[in-house]
Amino acid sequence: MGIQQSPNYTIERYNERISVVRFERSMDEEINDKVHHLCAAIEANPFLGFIEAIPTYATVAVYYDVFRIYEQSKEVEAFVHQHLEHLILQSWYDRHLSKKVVYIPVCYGGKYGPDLREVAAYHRMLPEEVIAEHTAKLYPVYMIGFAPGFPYLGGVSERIAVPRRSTPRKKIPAGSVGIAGRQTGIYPFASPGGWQIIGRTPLSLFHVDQDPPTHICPGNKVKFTPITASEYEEWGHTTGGAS
Amino acid sequence: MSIFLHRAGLLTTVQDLGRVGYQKYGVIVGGVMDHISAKTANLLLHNEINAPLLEVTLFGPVLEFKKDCWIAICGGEVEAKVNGESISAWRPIWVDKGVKLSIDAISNGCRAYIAFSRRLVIQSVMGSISTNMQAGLGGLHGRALEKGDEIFFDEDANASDDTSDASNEMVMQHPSASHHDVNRTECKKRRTYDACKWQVRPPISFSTSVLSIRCIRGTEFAQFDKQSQLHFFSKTYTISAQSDRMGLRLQGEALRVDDKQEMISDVVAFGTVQVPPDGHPIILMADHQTTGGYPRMAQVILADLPLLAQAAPHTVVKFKEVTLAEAEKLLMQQEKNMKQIKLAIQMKGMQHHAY
Repeated sequence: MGIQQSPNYTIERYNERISVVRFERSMDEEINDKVHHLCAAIEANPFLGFIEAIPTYATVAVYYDVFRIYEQSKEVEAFVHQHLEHLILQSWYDRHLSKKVVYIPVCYGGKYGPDLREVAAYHRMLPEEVIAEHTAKLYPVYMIGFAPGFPYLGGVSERIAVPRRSTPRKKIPAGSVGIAGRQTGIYPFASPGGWQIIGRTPLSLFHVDQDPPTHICPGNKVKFTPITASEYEEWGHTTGGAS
Repeated sequence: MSIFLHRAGLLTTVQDLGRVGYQKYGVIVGGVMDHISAKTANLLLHNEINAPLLEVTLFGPVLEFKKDCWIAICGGEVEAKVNGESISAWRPIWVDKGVKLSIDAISNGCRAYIAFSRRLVIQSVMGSISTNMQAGLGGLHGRALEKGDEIFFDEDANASDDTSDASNEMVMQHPSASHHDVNRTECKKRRTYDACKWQVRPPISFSTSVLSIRCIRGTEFAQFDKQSQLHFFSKTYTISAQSDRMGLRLQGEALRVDDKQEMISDVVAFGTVQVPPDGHPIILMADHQTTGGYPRMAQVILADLPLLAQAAPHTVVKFKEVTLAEAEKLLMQQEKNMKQIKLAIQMKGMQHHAY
Protein backbone atom coordinates (compact mmCIF):
# COMPACT_ATOMS: atom_id res chain seq x y z
CA MET A 1 0.00 0.00 0.00
CA GLY A 2 1.37 3.37 -1.06
CA ILE A 3 4.82 3.53 0.40
CA GLN A 4 6.50 6.80 -0.38
CA GLN A 5 10.23 6.43 -0.48
CA SER A 6 12.76 9.13 0.02
CA PRO A 7 16.27 8.90 1.39
CA ASN A 8 15.11 9.99 4.81
CA TYR A 9 11.71 8.56 5.54
CA THR A 10 8.79 6.42 4.46
CA ILE A 11 5.10 6.99 5.05
CA GLU A 12 3.09 3.83 5.29
CA ARG A 13 -0.56 3.17 5.97
CA TYR A 14 -0.72 1.05 9.16
CA ASN A 15 -4.47 0.50 9.00
CA GLU A 16 -7.62 2.40 8.02
CA ARG A 17 -7.05 5.15 10.60
CA ILE A 18 -3.28 5.17 11.24
CA SER A 19 -0.33 6.16 9.07
CA VAL A 20 3.23 5.61 10.20
CA VAL A 21 6.16 7.85 9.33
CA ARG A 22 9.41 5.90 9.69
CA PHE A 23 12.82 7.54 9.75
CA GLU A 24 14.96 4.45 10.40
CA ARG A 25 14.92 1.15 12.17
CA SER A 26 17.37 1.98 14.89
CA MET A 27 17.80 3.53 18.30
CA ASP A 28 19.63 6.77 17.67
CA GLU A 29 19.30 10.19 19.21
CA GLU A 30 19.50 12.07 15.91
CA ILE A 31 16.79 9.94 14.36
CA ASN A 32 14.64 10.23 17.45
CA ASP A 33 14.99 14.04 17.26
CA LYS A 34 13.27 13.94 13.86
CA VAL A 35 10.46 11.97 15.46
CA HIS A 36 9.85 14.65 18.08
CA HIS A 37 10.23 17.51 15.60
CA LEU A 38 7.55 15.94 13.43
CA CYS A 39 5.22 15.36 16.39
CA ALA A 40 5.59 19.00 17.38
CA ALA A 41 4.93 20.12 13.80
CA ILE A 42 1.76 18.00 13.49
CA GLU A 43 0.40 19.18 16.81
CA ALA A 44 1.09 22.80 15.92
CA ASN A 45 -0.52 22.41 12.46
CA PRO A 46 -3.11 19.64 12.79
CA PHE A 47 -4.78 18.63 9.53
CA LEU A 48 -8.52 18.01 9.28
CA GLY A 49 -9.41 14.83 11.15
CA PHE A 50 -6.09 14.57 13.01
CA ILE A 51 -6.51 12.76 16.35
CA GLU A 52 -3.11 12.06 17.90
CA ALA A 53 0.56 11.44 17.10
CA ILE A 54 2.57 8.89 19.04
CA PRO A 55 6.37 9.02 18.98
CA THR A 56 8.44 5.84 19.24
CA TYR A 57 12.22 5.42 18.78
CA ALA A 58 12.22 5.93 15.02
CA THR A 59 8.58 6.23 13.97
CA VAL A 60 5.54 8.42 14.46
CA ALA A 61 2.07 6.85 14.47
CA VAL A 62 -0.53 9.33 13.28
CA TYR A 63 -4.17 8.58 14.15
CA TYR A 64 -6.98 10.27 12.24
CA ASP A 65 -10.75 10.29 11.92
CA VAL A 66 -11.16 8.49 8.64
CA PHE A 67 -14.90 9.31 8.41
CA ARG A 68 -14.30 13.03 8.77
CA ILE A 69 -11.59 12.99 6.14
CA TYR A 70 -13.75 10.88 3.83
CA GLU A 71 -16.43 13.59 3.84
CA GLN A 72 -13.78 15.99 2.52
CA SER A 73 -11.85 13.65 0.25
CA LYS A 74 -12.51 10.09 -0.87
CA GLU A 75 -8.74 9.63 -1.22
CA VAL A 76 -8.00 9.37 2.48
CA GLU A 77 -4.46 8.14 2.04
CA ALA A 78 -3.44 10.81 -0.44
CA PHE A 79 -5.02 13.48 1.77
CA VAL A 80 -3.18 12.41 4.94
CA HIS A 81 0.16 11.59 3.33
CA GLN A 82 0.34 14.89 1.46
CA HIS A 83 -0.17 16.71 4.74
CA LEU A 84 2.45 14.57 6.45
CA GLU A 85 5.03 15.11 3.71
CA HIS A 86 4.52 18.82 3.99
CA LEU A 87 4.85 18.66 7.79
CA ILE A 88 8.02 16.55 7.61
CA LEU A 89 9.59 19.16 5.36
CA GLN A 90 8.40 21.96 7.61
CA SER A 91 9.69 20.24 10.75
CA TRP A 92 13.05 19.89 9.04
CA TYR A 93 13.38 23.63 8.44
CA ASP A 94 11.76 24.48 11.71
CA ARG A 95 13.81 22.30 14.04
CA HIS A 96 14.54 24.48 17.01
CA LEU A 97 12.59 22.40 19.46
CA SER A 98 14.04 23.37 22.79
CA LYS A 99 14.94 20.37 24.87
CA LYS A 100 13.75 20.84 28.38
CA VAL A 101 16.01 19.25 30.99
CA VAL A 102 14.17 17.50 33.80
CA TYR A 103 16.15 16.81 36.99
CA ILE A 104 15.27 13.59 38.79
CA PRO A 105 16.55 13.09 42.35
CA VAL A 106 17.46 9.45 43.00
CA CYS A 107 18.45 7.58 46.11
CA TYR A 108 20.80 4.87 44.83
CA GLY A 109 21.42 1.43 46.35
CA GLY A 110 20.22 -0.08 49.62
CA LYS A 111 16.53 -0.93 49.82
CA TYR A 112 15.78 1.61 47.08
CA GLY A 113 18.20 0.11 44.57
CA PRO A 114 18.45 -3.62 45.30
CA ASP A 115 20.37 -4.40 42.08
CA LEU A 116 23.05 -1.70 42.39
CA ARG A 117 25.61 -4.11 43.88
CA GLU A 118 24.92 -6.68 41.18
CA VAL A 119 25.34 -4.11 38.42
CA ALA A 120 28.62 -2.98 40.00
CA ALA A 121 29.82 -6.61 40.38
CA TYR A 122 28.89 -7.32 36.74
CA HIS A 123 31.29 -4.61 35.61
CA ARG A 124 33.83 -5.08 38.47
CA MET A 125 33.17 -1.57 39.65
CA LEU A 126 32.32 0.02 42.97
CA PRO A 127 28.65 0.96 43.47
CA GLU A 128 29.79 4.61 43.78
CA GLU A 129 31.33 4.39 40.31
CA VAL A 130 28.07 3.10 38.85
CA ILE A 131 26.23 6.03 40.45
CA ALA A 132 28.81 8.50 39.12
CA GLU A 133 28.43 7.03 35.63
CA HIS A 134 24.62 7.00 35.75
CA THR A 135 24.39 10.61 36.94
CA ALA A 136 27.04 11.96 34.56
CA LYS A 137 24.91 11.89 31.41
CA LEU A 138 22.02 13.85 30.02
CA TYR A 139 19.61 11.19 28.70
CA PRO A 140 17.23 11.89 25.81
CA VAL A 141 13.62 10.78 26.37
CA TYR A 142 13.10 8.65 23.26
CA MET A 143 9.49 7.80 24.01
CA ILE A 144 7.00 7.02 26.74
CA GLY A 145 5.43 3.59 26.85
CA PHE A 146 4.93 0.35 28.74
CA ALA A 147 2.93 2.20 31.42
CA PRO A 148 1.58 5.76 31.82
CA GLY A 149 4.58 8.06 32.16
CA PHE A 150 7.32 5.38 31.80
CA PRO A 151 10.17 7.19 29.98
CA TYR A 152 12.54 5.24 27.76
CA LEU A 153 15.87 6.99 28.20
CA GLY A 154 18.66 6.07 25.85
CA GLY A 155 22.41 6.34 25.68
CA VAL A 156 23.45 4.58 28.90
CA SER A 157 27.23 4.19 29.03
CA GLU A 158 28.57 0.78 27.99
CA ARG A 159 30.43 0.77 31.29
CA ILE A 160 27.20 0.26 33.25
CA ALA A 161 24.93 -1.37 30.65
CA VAL A 162 23.47 -4.67 31.94
CA PRO A 163 21.05 -7.26 30.58
CA ARG A 164 17.54 -7.54 32.02
CA ARG A 165 17.04 -9.82 35.02
CA SER A 166 16.53 -13.43 33.93
CA THR A 167 13.41 -13.60 36.12
CA PRO A 168 11.36 -10.42 36.17
CA ARG A 169 10.23 -9.14 39.56
CA LYS A 170 6.52 -9.46 40.32
CA LYS A 171 6.39 -6.03 41.87
CA ILE A 172 8.69 -3.07 41.47
CA PRO A 173 7.83 -0.05 43.66
CA ALA A 174 6.75 3.23 42.03
CA GLY A 175 9.67 5.57 41.38
CA SER A 176 12.20 2.76 40.82
CA VAL A 177 15.01 3.59 38.39
CA GLY A 178 16.24 0.70 36.28
CA ILE A 179 18.74 -0.23 33.60
CA ALA A 180 18.12 -2.64 30.71
CA GLY A 181 20.90 -2.86 28.13
CA ARG A 182 21.80 0.69 27.16
CA GLN A 183 18.43 2.03 28.26
CA THR A 184 17.43 3.45 31.60
CA GLY A 185 13.91 4.19 32.79
CA ILE A 186 11.70 4.99 35.76
CA TYR A 187 8.65 2.99 36.84
CA PRO A 188 5.92 5.58 37.58
CA PHE A 189 3.60 2.95 39.12
CA ALA A 190 4.26 -0.20 41.10
CA SER A 191 4.34 -2.92 38.46
CA PRO A 192 6.05 -6.14 37.44
CA GLY A 193 9.28 -5.65 35.50
CA GLY A 194 12.61 -7.10 34.48
CA TRP A 195 14.93 -4.08 34.58
CA GLN A 196 17.83 -3.97 37.03
CA ILE A 197 16.78 -1.56 39.79
CA ILE A 198 19.60 0.70 40.95
CA GLY A 199 17.69 3.43 42.79
CA ARG A 200 14.40 5.18 43.43
CA THR A 201 13.09 8.72 43.03
CA PRO A 202 10.72 10.28 45.56
CA LEU A 203 9.07 12.26 42.74
CA SER A 204 5.69 11.24 41.49
CA LEU A 205 5.89 10.98 37.69
CA PHE A 206 2.24 10.84 36.71
CA HIS A 207 -0.62 13.17 37.65
CA VAL A 208 -4.00 12.43 36.17
CA ASP A 209 -5.29 15.95 36.79
CA GLN A 210 -2.41 17.81 35.14
CA ASP A 211 -1.82 18.65 31.52
CA PRO A 212 0.50 17.13 30.45
CA PRO A 213 -0.08 14.29 32.91
CA THR A 214 3.57 13.23 32.89
CA HIS A 215 6.48 14.82 34.75
CA ILE A 216 8.79 13.83 31.90
CA CYS A 217 7.64 14.31 28.29
CA PRO A 218 8.82 12.71 25.07
CA GLY A 219 11.63 14.81 23.62
CA ASN A 220 12.82 16.10 27.03
CA LYS A 221 16.24 15.32 28.49
CA VAL A 222 16.71 13.78 31.92
CA LYS A 223 19.51 14.35 34.42
CA PHE A 224 19.65 12.16 37.51
CA THR A 225 20.97 13.70 40.73
CA PRO A 226 21.94 11.53 43.71
CA ILE A 227 20.24 12.07 47.08
CA THR A 228 20.69 10.33 50.43
CA ALA A 229 18.20 7.97 52.06
CA SER A 230 17.22 10.62 54.60
CA GLU A 231 16.70 13.19 51.84
CA TYR A 232 14.52 10.64 50.06
CA GLU A 233 12.40 10.08 53.14
CA GLU A 234 12.04 13.80 53.89
CA TRP A 235 11.06 14.41 50.28
CA GLY A 236 8.20 12.01 50.73
CA HIS A 237 7.02 13.90 53.82
CA THR A 238 7.16 17.37 52.41
CA THR A 239 5.80 16.77 48.94
CA GLY A 240 3.75 13.61 49.34
CA GLY A 241 5.51 12.06 46.36
CA ALA A 242 5.56 8.46 45.28
CA SER A 243 5.99 5.95 48.05
CA MET B 1 -30.64 7.49 42.98
CA SER B 2 -28.29 4.78 41.94
CA ILE B 3 -27.73 1.27 40.77
CA PHE B 4 -26.52 -1.21 43.36
CA LEU B 5 -24.52 -4.33 42.51
CA HIS B 6 -25.75 -7.46 44.25
CA ARG B 7 -23.38 -9.49 42.11
CA ALA B 8 -20.47 -8.22 40.05
CA GLY B 9 -20.25 -10.94 37.42
CA LEU B 10 -17.03 -12.22 35.88
CA LEU B 11 -15.69 -8.87 34.70
CA THR B 12 -17.98 -5.85 34.67
CA THR B 13 -16.41 -2.46 33.99
CA VAL B 14 -17.57 1.08 33.36
CA GLN B 15 -16.60 2.05 29.80
CA ASP B 16 -17.04 4.63 27.07
CA LEU B 17 -15.35 4.94 23.68
CA GLY B 18 -11.91 5.39 25.25
CA ARG B 19 -9.27 7.85 26.37
CA VAL B 20 -8.11 9.51 23.19
CA GLY B 21 -5.03 11.72 22.82
CA TYR B 22 -2.79 10.50 25.63
CA GLN B 23 -1.00 7.57 24.06
CA LYS B 24 2.18 9.63 23.72
CA TYR B 25 2.25 9.75 27.53
CA GLY B 26 1.93 5.97 27.68
CA VAL B 27 -1.78 6.08 28.53
CA ILE B 28 -3.77 3.39 26.74
CA VAL B 29 -6.98 4.22 24.85
CA GLY B 30 -9.02 1.39 26.39
CA GLY B 31 -12.78 1.85 26.14
CA VAL B 32 -15.35 -0.67 24.98
CA MET B 33 -14.15 -3.82 23.23
CA ASP B 34 -17.14 -3.97 20.83
CA HIS B 35 -18.02 -0.40 19.86
CA ILE B 36 -20.84 -1.45 17.52
CA SER B 37 -22.91 -3.07 20.29
CA ALA B 38 -22.03 -0.33 22.77
CA LYS B 39 -22.99 2.48 20.37
CA THR B 40 -26.24 0.74 19.48
CA ALA B 41 -27.17 0.47 23.19
CA ASN B 42 -26.67 4.21 23.64
CA LEU B 43 -28.46 5.04 20.38
CA LEU B 44 -31.51 3.05 21.53
CA LEU B 45 -31.88 5.43 24.48
CA HIS B 46 -31.09 8.56 22.43
CA ASN B 47 -27.99 8.97 24.57
CA GLU B 48 -24.80 10.64 23.57
CA ILE B 49 -22.83 8.03 21.59
CA ASN B 50 -20.00 8.21 24.14
CA ALA B 51 -22.23 7.99 27.26
CA PRO B 52 -20.91 5.79 30.09
CA LEU B 53 -22.18 2.22 30.12
CA LEU B 54 -21.35 -1.13 31.65
CA GLU B 55 -19.38 -3.77 29.78
CA VAL B 56 -20.27 -7.25 30.97
CA THR B 57 -18.13 -10.31 30.22
CA LEU B 58 -19.36 -13.93 29.82
CA PHE B 59 -21.33 -13.97 33.07
CA GLY B 60 -22.97 -10.79 34.19
CA PRO B 61 -23.99 -8.84 37.26
CA VAL B 62 -27.19 -8.44 39.28
CA LEU B 63 -28.14 -4.78 39.49
CA GLU B 64 -30.82 -3.15 41.59
CA PHE B 65 -32.28 0.12 40.38
CA LYS B 66 -32.78 2.65 43.17
CA LYS B 67 -34.52 4.92 40.69
CA ASP B 68 -36.58 4.22 37.58
CA CYS B 69 -34.63 4.31 34.35
CA TRP B 70 -34.60 3.31 30.70
CA ILE B 71 -32.01 0.71 29.82
CA ALA B 72 -30.86 -1.10 26.70
CA ILE B 73 -28.78 -4.27 26.51
CA CYS B 74 -26.80 -5.06 23.35
CA GLY B 75 -23.99 -7.47 22.50
CA GLY B 76 -23.74 -11.24 22.58
CA GLU B 77 -26.84 -13.33 23.21
CA VAL B 78 -27.74 -12.62 26.84
CA GLU B 79 -29.83 -14.44 29.34
CA ALA B 80 -31.29 -11.32 30.97
CA LYS B 81 -34.01 -11.21 33.60
CA VAL B 82 -35.94 -8.44 35.28
CA ASN B 83 -37.27 -9.56 38.66
CA GLY B 84 -36.91 -13.12 37.42
CA GLU B 85 -38.75 -12.62 34.10
CA SER B 86 -36.81 -13.00 30.86
CA ILE B 87 -36.37 -9.88 28.76
CA SER B 88 -34.99 -9.35 25.27
CA ALA B 89 -31.99 -7.35 24.25
CA TRP B 90 -31.56 -4.73 21.46
CA ARG B 91 -34.57 -2.60 22.56
CA PRO B 92 -35.36 0.09 25.13
CA ILE B 93 -36.66 -1.30 28.43
CA TRP B 94 -38.16 0.74 31.22
CA VAL B 95 -37.43 -0.45 34.74
CA ASP B 96 -39.05 0.89 37.89
CA LYS B 97 -37.35 1.78 41.15
CA GLY B 98 -36.55 -1.38 43.12
CA VAL B 99 -36.28 -3.63 40.08
CA LYS B 100 -33.49 -6.18 39.93
CA LEU B 101 -31.82 -6.89 36.61
CA SER B 102 -29.69 -9.99 36.22
CA ILE B 103 -27.47 -10.85 33.29
CA ASP B 104 -26.56 -14.51 33.45
CA ALA B 105 -24.69 -16.41 30.76
CA ILE B 106 -23.72 -14.72 27.51
CA SER B 107 -23.58 -17.07 24.54
CA ASN B 108 -22.88 -16.41 20.86
CA GLY B 109 -20.50 -13.65 21.76
CA CYS B 110 -18.98 -12.96 25.14
CA ARG B 111 -19.68 -9.33 25.94
CA ALA B 112 -22.79 -7.29 26.51
CA TYR B 113 -23.35 -3.58 27.15
CA ILE B 114 -25.94 -2.09 29.47
CA ALA B 115 -26.76 1.52 28.66
CA PHE B 116 -28.82 3.79 30.94
CA SER B 117 -30.99 6.78 30.09
CA ARG B 118 -29.76 8.46 33.26
CA ARG B 119 -26.18 9.55 33.22
CA LEU B 120 -23.86 7.59 35.49
CA VAL B 121 -21.80 9.77 37.80
CA ILE B 122 -18.24 8.72 37.06
CA GLN B 123 -15.30 11.10 37.31
CA SER B 124 -13.81 11.79 33.91
CA VAL B 125 -10.04 11.31 33.85
CA MET B 126 -8.17 12.73 30.86
CA GLY B 127 -11.38 13.12 28.92
CA SER B 128 -12.80 9.65 29.52
CA ILE B 129 -14.58 7.65 32.21
CA SER B 130 -13.32 4.31 30.84
CA THR B 131 -11.74 1.95 33.37
CA ASN B 132 -7.99 1.49 32.92
CA MET B 133 -7.41 -1.46 35.23
CA GLN B 134 -3.64 -1.66 34.68
CA ALA B 135 -3.04 1.89 35.88
CA GLY B 136 -6.05 2.05 38.20
CA LEU B 137 -7.50 5.07 36.38
CA GLY B 138 -11.03 6.04 35.49
CA GLY B 139 -14.18 4.01 36.00
CA LEU B 140 -15.20 3.26 39.57
CA HIS B 141 -11.96 3.51 41.62
CA GLY B 142 -10.00 2.40 38.54
CA ARG B 143 -11.08 -1.21 38.90
CA ALA B 144 -13.65 -3.76 37.79
CA LEU B 145 -16.96 -3.52 39.63
CA GLU B 146 -17.39 -5.53 42.82
CA LYS B 147 -20.35 -6.82 44.76
CA GLY B 148 -21.73 -4.02 46.95
CA ASP B 149 -20.64 -1.20 44.59
CA GLU B 150 -23.11 1.58 43.99
CA ILE B 151 -23.04 3.83 40.94
CA PHE B 152 -25.01 7.04 41.24
CA PHE B 153 -27.19 8.70 38.63
CA ASP B 154 -26.66 12.34 37.74
CA GLU B 155 -29.24 14.37 39.66
CA ASP B 156 -28.92 17.45 37.48
CA ALA B 157 -30.85 15.90 34.67
CA ASN B 158 -33.63 15.24 37.11
CA ALA B 159 -34.04 17.97 39.72
CA SER B 160 -37.08 16.53 41.44
CA ASP B 161 -37.23 13.21 43.19
CA ASP B 162 -40.93 13.03 42.45
CA THR B 163 -41.39 9.99 40.23
CA SER B 164 -44.31 11.40 38.24
CA ASP B 165 -42.21 14.39 37.19
CA ALA B 166 -39.39 12.04 36.45
CA SER B 167 -41.49 9.85 34.22
CA ASN B 168 -42.75 12.87 32.27
CA GLU B 169 -39.20 13.88 31.72
CA MET B 170 -38.23 10.39 30.68
CA VAL B 171 -40.94 10.31 28.06
CA MET B 172 -39.65 13.57 26.66
CA GLN B 173 -36.07 12.42 26.67
CA HIS B 174 -36.85 9.09 25.10
CA PRO B 175 -39.61 9.50 22.58
CA SER B 176 -38.66 6.21 21.01
CA ALA B 177 -40.19 4.41 23.92
CA SER B 178 -43.10 6.66 24.75
CA HIS B 179 -46.83 6.13 25.18
CA HIS B 180 -47.35 3.83 22.26
CA ASP B 181 -45.27 0.97 23.57
CA VAL B 182 -45.13 1.79 27.20
CA ASN B 183 -47.98 3.56 28.83
CA ARG B 184 -46.24 4.78 31.92
CA THR B 185 -49.14 5.18 34.31
CA GLU B 186 -50.65 1.94 33.21
CA CYS B 187 -47.50 -0.08 33.33
CA LYS B 188 -46.71 1.19 36.76
CA LYS B 189 -49.89 -0.25 38.14
CA ARG B 190 -49.48 -3.43 36.23
CA ARG B 191 -45.82 -4.22 36.37
CA THR B 192 -42.46 -2.97 37.37
CA TYR B 193 -40.86 -2.95 33.97
CA ASP B 194 -41.84 -2.79 30.32
CA ALA B 195 -39.97 -3.41 27.13
CA CYS B 196 -40.61 -1.78 23.77
CA LYS B 197 -42.10 -4.22 21.30
CA TRP B 198 -39.75 -3.24 18.54
CA GLN B 199 -36.05 -3.96 18.47
CA VAL B 200 -33.10 -3.22 16.22
CA ARG B 201 -31.56 -6.04 14.29
CA PRO B 202 -28.09 -6.76 15.70
CA PRO B 203 -25.68 -5.05 13.27
CA ILE B 204 -23.22 -7.93 13.50
CA SER B 205 -23.79 -11.63 13.94
CA PHE B 206 -21.57 -13.54 16.32
CA SER B 207 -22.78 -17.08 15.80
CA THR B 208 -20.51 -18.94 13.45
CA SER B 209 -18.63 -22.17 14.02
CA VAL B 210 -15.45 -20.75 12.53
CA LEU B 211 -15.04 -17.03 12.88
CA SER B 212 -13.68 -15.49 9.70
CA ILE B 213 -11.53 -12.45 10.43
CA ARG B 214 -10.15 -10.24 7.69
CA CYS B 215 -6.66 -8.77 7.94
CA ILE B 216 -4.22 -6.67 6.01
CA ARG B 217 -0.51 -7.53 6.09
CA GLY B 218 1.45 -6.30 9.08
CA THR B 219 4.65 -4.25 9.01
CA GLU B 220 6.98 -7.29 9.39
CA PHE B 221 4.89 -9.73 7.31
CA ALA B 222 7.72 -10.17 4.79
CA GLN B 223 10.16 -11.09 7.57
CA PHE B 224 8.22 -14.24 8.50
CA ASP B 225 9.28 -17.44 6.75
CA LYS B 226 7.21 -18.58 3.76
CA GLN B 227 5.68 -21.43 5.73
CA SER B 228 4.45 -19.07 8.47
CA GLN B 229 3.02 -16.63 5.93
CA LEU B 230 1.11 -19.51 4.38
CA HIS B 231 -0.05 -20.97 7.69
CA PHE B 232 -1.38 -17.73 9.04
CA PHE B 233 -3.82 -17.29 6.18
CA SER B 234 -4.76 -20.96 5.75
CA LYS B 235 -4.78 -22.76 9.12
CA THR B 236 -7.24 -22.17 11.92
CA TYR B 237 -6.30 -20.72 15.29
CA THR B 238 -8.05 -21.13 18.61
CA ILE B 239 -8.51 -18.29 21.09
CA SER B 240 -6.91 -19.35 24.36
CA ALA B 241 -8.47 -18.94 27.80
CA GLN B 242 -5.48 -16.70 28.66
CA SER B 243 -7.08 -13.88 26.72
CA ASP B 244 -8.31 -10.63 28.14
CA ARG B 245 -9.07 -7.02 27.28
CA MET B 246 -5.36 -6.48 26.49
CA GLY B 247 -5.06 -9.24 23.96
CA LEU B 248 -6.32 -12.51 22.54
CA ARG B 249 -3.74 -15.28 22.66
CA LEU B 250 -3.95 -17.75 19.80
CA GLN B 251 -3.15 -21.44 19.77
CA GLY B 252 -2.21 -23.08 16.52
CA GLU B 253 0.66 -23.34 14.07
CA ALA B 254 3.63 -21.39 15.48
CA LEU B 255 4.92 -18.53 13.33
CA ARG B 256 8.62 -17.87 12.82
CA VAL B 257 10.57 -14.89 11.57
CA ASP B 258 13.39 -15.55 9.11
CA ASP B 259 15.44 -12.64 10.10
CA LYS B 260 15.71 -12.60 13.89
CA GLN B 261 16.90 -9.05 14.34
CA GLU B 262 15.99 -7.56 17.70
CA MET B 263 13.12 -5.13 17.24
CA ILE B 264 12.99 -1.83 19.05
CA SER B 265 9.70 -0.57 20.51
CA ASP B 266 7.43 0.50 17.70
CA VAL B 267 3.82 1.23 16.80
CA VAL B 268 1.04 -1.18 17.77
CA ALA B 269 -2.73 -0.73 17.60
CA PHE B 270 -6.08 -2.33 18.38
CA GLY B 271 -6.11 -5.37 16.07
CA THR B 272 -2.34 -5.73 15.61
CA VAL B 273 -1.35 -9.41 15.38
CA GLN B 274 2.09 -9.58 17.00
CA VAL B 275 4.23 -12.66 17.40
CA PRO B 276 6.45 -13.12 20.48
CA PRO B 277 9.50 -15.44 20.32
CA ASP B 278 7.42 -18.54 21.22
CA GLY B 279 5.69 -18.16 17.83
CA HIS B 280 2.13 -17.98 19.18
CA PRO B 281 0.37 -14.88 17.91
CA ILE B 282 -1.38 -12.36 20.14
CA ILE B 283 -4.06 -10.02 18.77
CA LEU B 284 -3.92 -6.75 20.63
CA MET B 285 -7.31 -5.56 21.87
CA ALA B 286 -8.78 -2.42 23.50
CA ASP B 287 -6.43 -2.34 26.53
CA HIS B 288 -3.22 -2.93 24.54
CA GLN B 289 -0.05 -1.05 25.54
CA THR B 290 0.80 2.03 23.52
CA THR B 291 3.93 0.53 21.92
CA GLY B 292 5.30 -2.96 21.38
CA GLY B 293 8.45 -4.79 20.41
CA TYR B 294 7.36 -7.97 18.63
CA PRO B 295 7.15 -8.57 14.87
CA ARG B 296 3.74 -7.66 13.44
CA MET B 297 2.25 -10.33 11.20
CA ALA B 298 -1.05 -8.69 10.36
CA GLN B 299 -3.56 -6.05 11.26
CA VAL B 300 -7.22 -7.00 11.73
CA ILE B 301 -9.42 -4.66 9.71
CA LEU B 302 -11.41 -2.18 11.80
CA ALA B 303 -14.78 -3.49 10.59
CA ASP B 304 -14.01 -6.93 12.06
CA LEU B 305 -12.77 -5.79 15.47
CA PRO B 306 -16.27 -5.90 17.05
CA LEU B 307 -16.58 -9.54 15.94
CA LEU B 308 -13.23 -10.36 17.44
CA ALA B 309 -14.17 -8.53 20.63
CA GLN B 310 -17.11 -10.93 20.95
CA ALA B 311 -14.98 -14.05 20.43
CA ALA B 312 -15.04 -16.13 23.61
CA PRO B 313 -12.16 -18.39 24.65
CA HIS B 314 -12.00 -21.58 22.53
CA THR B 315 -13.47 -19.81 19.49
CA VAL B 316 -11.86 -21.04 16.27
CA VAL B 317 -10.66 -18.23 14.00
CA LYS B 318 -9.56 -18.23 10.38
CA PHE B 319 -7.78 -15.24 8.92
CA LYS B 320 -8.44 -13.94 5.43
CA GLU B 321 -6.23 -11.45 3.65
CA VAL B 322 -7.82 -8.32 2.19
CA THR B 323 -6.38 -5.12 0.77
CA LEU B 324 -6.46 -1.84 2.61
CA ALA B 325 -8.85 -0.48 -0.03
CA GLU B 326 -11.28 -3.32 0.74
CA ALA B 327 -10.87 -2.72 4.46
CA GLU B 328 -11.67 0.95 3.98
CA LYS B 329 -14.77 0.11 1.93
CA LEU B 330 -16.01 -2.34 4.56
CA LEU B 331 -15.48 0.26 7.27
CA MET B 332 -17.49 2.85 5.34
CA GLN B 333 -20.30 0.33 4.87
CA GLN B 334 -20.34 -0.42 8.59
CA GLU B 335 -20.50 3.28 9.42
CA LYS B 336 -23.35 3.75 6.93
CA ASN B 337 -25.19 0.85 8.58
CA MET B 338 -24.81 2.50 11.99
CA LYS B 339 -26.23 5.74 10.59
CA GLN B 340 -29.24 3.82 9.30
CA ILE B 341 -29.78 2.24 12.71
CA LYS B 342 -29.66 5.68 14.28
CA LEU B 343 -32.17 6.98 11.76
CA ALA B 344 -34.49 4.00 12.28
CA ILE B 345 -34.47 4.60 16.05
CA GLN B 346 -35.22 8.30 15.52
CA MET B 347 -38.10 7.35 13.21
CA LYS B 348 -39.58 5.20 15.96
CA GLY B 349 -39.61 8.27 18.15
CA MET B 350 -41.26 10.38 15.42
CA GLN B 351 -44.01 7.87 14.84
CA HIS B 352 -44.89 7.95 18.49
CA HIS B 353 -45.18 11.69 18.54
CA ALA B 354 -47.53 11.53 15.58
CA TYR B 355 -49.53 8.72 17.10
